[in-house]
Amino acid sequence: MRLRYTKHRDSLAVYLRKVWNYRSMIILLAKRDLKIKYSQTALGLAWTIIQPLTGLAIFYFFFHLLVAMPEVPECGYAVFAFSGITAWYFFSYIVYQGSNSLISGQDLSQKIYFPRIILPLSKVLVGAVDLTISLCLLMVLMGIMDVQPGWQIILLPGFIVLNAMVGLSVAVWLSALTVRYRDLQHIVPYIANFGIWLTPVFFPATIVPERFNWFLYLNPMTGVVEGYRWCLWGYAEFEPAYAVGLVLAFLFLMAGTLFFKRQEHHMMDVI
Amino acid sequence: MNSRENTVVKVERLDKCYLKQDVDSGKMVRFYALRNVSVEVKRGEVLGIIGRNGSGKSTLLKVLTGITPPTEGEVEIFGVPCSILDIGTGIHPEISGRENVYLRGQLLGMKRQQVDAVFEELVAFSGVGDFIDTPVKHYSSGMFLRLAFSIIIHLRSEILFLDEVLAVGDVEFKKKCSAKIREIVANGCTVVIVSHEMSAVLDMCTRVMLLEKGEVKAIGTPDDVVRNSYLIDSEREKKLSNQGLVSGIGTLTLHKWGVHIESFSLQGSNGTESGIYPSNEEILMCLKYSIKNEHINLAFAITDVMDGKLIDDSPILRGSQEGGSQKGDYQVEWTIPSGLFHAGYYFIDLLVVDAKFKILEKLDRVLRFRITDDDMPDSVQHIYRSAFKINLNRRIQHTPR
Repeated sequence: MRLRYTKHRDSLAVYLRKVWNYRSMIILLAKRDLKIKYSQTALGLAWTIIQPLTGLAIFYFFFHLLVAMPEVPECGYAVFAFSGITAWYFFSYIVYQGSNSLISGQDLSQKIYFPRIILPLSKVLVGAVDLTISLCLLMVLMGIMDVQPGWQIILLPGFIVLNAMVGLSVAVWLSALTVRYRDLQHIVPYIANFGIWLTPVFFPATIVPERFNWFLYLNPMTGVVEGYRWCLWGYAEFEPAYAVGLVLAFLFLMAGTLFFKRQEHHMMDVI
Repeated sequence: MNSRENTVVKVERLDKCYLKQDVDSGKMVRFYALRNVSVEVKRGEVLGIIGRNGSGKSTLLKVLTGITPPTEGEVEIFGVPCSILDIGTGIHPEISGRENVYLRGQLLGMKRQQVDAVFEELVAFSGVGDFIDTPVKHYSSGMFLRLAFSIIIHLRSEILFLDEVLAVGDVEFKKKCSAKIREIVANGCTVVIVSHEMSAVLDMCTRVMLLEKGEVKAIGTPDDVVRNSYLIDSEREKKLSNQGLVSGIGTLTLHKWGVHIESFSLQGSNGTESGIYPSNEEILMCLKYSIKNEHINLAFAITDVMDGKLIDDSPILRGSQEGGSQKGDYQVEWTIPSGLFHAGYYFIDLLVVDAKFKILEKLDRVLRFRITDDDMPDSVQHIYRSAFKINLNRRIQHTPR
């Protein structure tokens, strides 16, 4: 095996091949994160259950018991909101952890060579574990509420991938940028905490006045959240216009990957 | 195998340049961390990289492992991808020793089965025993270091880039480590070590490269580079080169101890005070001083460039009442016999001692001298010249008829 290091950057094809060659490391880093996450905890995995359930309890209390949300589909508010929460938490986990991954992974990246984009990628896997647990809870909830999933459920993995893609499109940009400009970390809570109000997570998209619909179309998470619901219980029809946001997110991710690769070359000198 | 196939690391005209803000003008200026570095490492070599802090050693390792790109020039590595192996990387305090071994081994490029294969041996080597299933944060710092070192030394890697890993554990563990490194080198592994531990470098490396301000200052045998370049001619010690030899000092008063030194000097047999003395001549060391406190006296110690103490002496040690514990003015002369030291640089520390030879104050390297020796080849690097008497006769073989 022969390696050669010069001042020249890898081409995108070479870079992506490297990422593929390092795929086992993505899994390894995710495993490491999980081990660390669950060592020294009193409740362990329970936190992964408690967090989304707390979110659900709050939305249920405010938007179902205090103020009744209109136009809630027949699955009931709990299932409706929880499906949105599940998708949103996956997204926000990737954004939070992924954006910070280069800085938090410094101990390794200063000593071991690997394509750095592996760091945010591995966070997706860690988030996927939470997502799986959350989806199981959702299934239980659907069972209790007697909501039957339709045939579309086979398409759910597709939307999970889209969910990860939307999260990554933000995380890849922010992680590459925060290496140089640390203050950009402060954007992350805006996206993760305030973004939920701009996405039909706990309110149905149908109550949004039509003149604001363009915003729903541009927001890629609308497509993801609505996609989950469509897969899980065939909620309404899947609005094709939601694909606009998803396509934009995809382009954003591609541009982000190129930007990341560009930054990566000298990343270790400025981190 | 031709020489090219034997090359494992090839560095050619390497520059690494950073931009840094100039203090005065506030403009960004170029700063060369490495400049025009070329080196080739062959299979089975142990290359030591030494140099002061900030000389570019770590930067070089980072470029060699692909962590940061060169500004100019190129690096070629013939072998499995490798990492900088330092003590802590990839070890997480919250998880157990066992899990850390697997995680770190895999992070550094081993397969799970490969870790399985060496696991028992690795744990035995580290000596952490039953603690292997305890979270690493409960380890003593010694256990942590031993476990960490054991992991990197059991990697089945073709090239190891070790960054300051030699200063681990107690004497016994250090011995085990250097034996282990020799073993893996014997098995065809190539090692590049960055270290400040000169004794380890001398002990283990087959070749040493000295970096200074990012440039290769010297490269060659460990003894040569360490003793003659690193310890003598480096920036901080420039004073110690020939121009910096000190063969005598004038008055010096140590009020705290009530000691006044009139003069302290070295003289060659023919009265020369150049500070350079041939090995086959005697050297006279003369100390004139006065003591105002009882039970306080002076002593000296001769050290080599590695700060190892070779000899010390004091009137006190001779049980001499004259120079013992009385107040008064004294003059002591010592004669350093001819042929005691081999060629090299030596230093004399002046010590303030009490009646029991406890050191109260130490003045480092007050005198500095150099011994030259035309009879011995430079490759002989021991300090003392052989004091054995030799009787060399040619033996006549009696063959039975």
